[in-house]
Amino acid sequence: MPWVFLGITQIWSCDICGGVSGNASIGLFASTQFHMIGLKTGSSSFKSYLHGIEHSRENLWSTEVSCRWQIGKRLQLMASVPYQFGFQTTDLSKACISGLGDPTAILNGILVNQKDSTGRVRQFLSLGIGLKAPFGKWNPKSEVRNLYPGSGAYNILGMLNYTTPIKPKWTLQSEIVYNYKLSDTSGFRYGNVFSLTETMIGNYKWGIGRFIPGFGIGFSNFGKVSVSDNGSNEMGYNGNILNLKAHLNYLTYRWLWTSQIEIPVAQNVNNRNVKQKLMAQIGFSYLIRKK
Amino acid sequence: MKKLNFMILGISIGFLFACDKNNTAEINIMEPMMNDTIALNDSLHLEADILGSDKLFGYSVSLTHTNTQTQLFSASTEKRRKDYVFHSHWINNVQDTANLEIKITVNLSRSGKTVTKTMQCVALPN
Repeated sequence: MPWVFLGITQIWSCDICGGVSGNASIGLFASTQFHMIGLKTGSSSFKSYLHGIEHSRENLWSTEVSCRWQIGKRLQLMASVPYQFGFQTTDLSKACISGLGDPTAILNGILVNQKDSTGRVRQFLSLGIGLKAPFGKWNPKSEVRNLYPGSGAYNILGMLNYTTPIKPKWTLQSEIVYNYKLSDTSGFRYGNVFSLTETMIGNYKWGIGRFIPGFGIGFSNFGKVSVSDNGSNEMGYNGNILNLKAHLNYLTYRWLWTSQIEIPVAQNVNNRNVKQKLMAQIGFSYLIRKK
Repeated sequence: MKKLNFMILGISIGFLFACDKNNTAEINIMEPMMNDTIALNDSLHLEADILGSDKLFGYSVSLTHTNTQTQLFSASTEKRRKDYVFHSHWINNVQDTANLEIKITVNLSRSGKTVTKTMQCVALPN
């Protein structure tokens, strides 16, 4: 007799981790003018709860190839392709799903870029529009669909980035990102994401390059997940996360080395049934100076 | 010196067993309900939590076809926690009516003291 038992753990945490969701960012180096090609790798972890009891742990490792191309003085084209490993552990089961994630392309238009006589940015304002395409690995029939690296749906991103100096060696960067998510072919739709980040960015000469630390705070709002073609059947899983962020970067003539850590200080996603833990990322980029 | 070693060993063993002497656990099966019927190709949703009075020593879950005494699924953990929760699905694809028994056994102590709860339901063909 053909019996099938499926060990199921229904989680929705991946939507808030950067794996499935398009938590894209223009980044701290928005106002720089070089082309870049780089590699970033990072990990984020979550705990899921049922009846207030810890039910599962999820860990996502993502490595991303990214590039940025300056198209003239006013336009930047950014693209990235992630490869993700998603792990889930429950008392009774373990799961690992890996594969290519959804690629993202962003066109960033520089609206204001005022510099003083020394070349230091006085005001920088950019508006970006992005598209995340559902070319990554996904499975709408899986009960752990959120563990998959792809979402199966197009995402449209809007980004506003403003940078202004606040002290001789420090600038303040404000970034707003809105991620509008469409339904996949099965009618499943992840909730839209709004995020606001404020980051203080330092700039100090050190050795052959510049040491660029950053400290900030980020707020993210996750909309409700819904099912059906018109998105009328809302399933919840929404909430907010407030994160503290720290960056350490080192910029030389040809290379940019980056590291970032995020620690949530307040969160209530899915009625506190999903808790984001530490997120960390390191990376490097090769810089191609514009001629 | 030998006496001292034996004393330390005795106290350690005594302490280990004393810890879980009066441990109790409450098993709550939210789904399925007793004698629920599952239509062909529907899924049996199994959801339960286990609440211990102190740290527990793991638990096991099994699903048995009682007509044939065939174990369809079993899983266990030895993770030490005070409370546990789990949920799973089983897809009904039986050819004949099947009486199913879900059995959850919680380990209360290292010495093998357990508490068990069972739940019956019926899987229907066509």
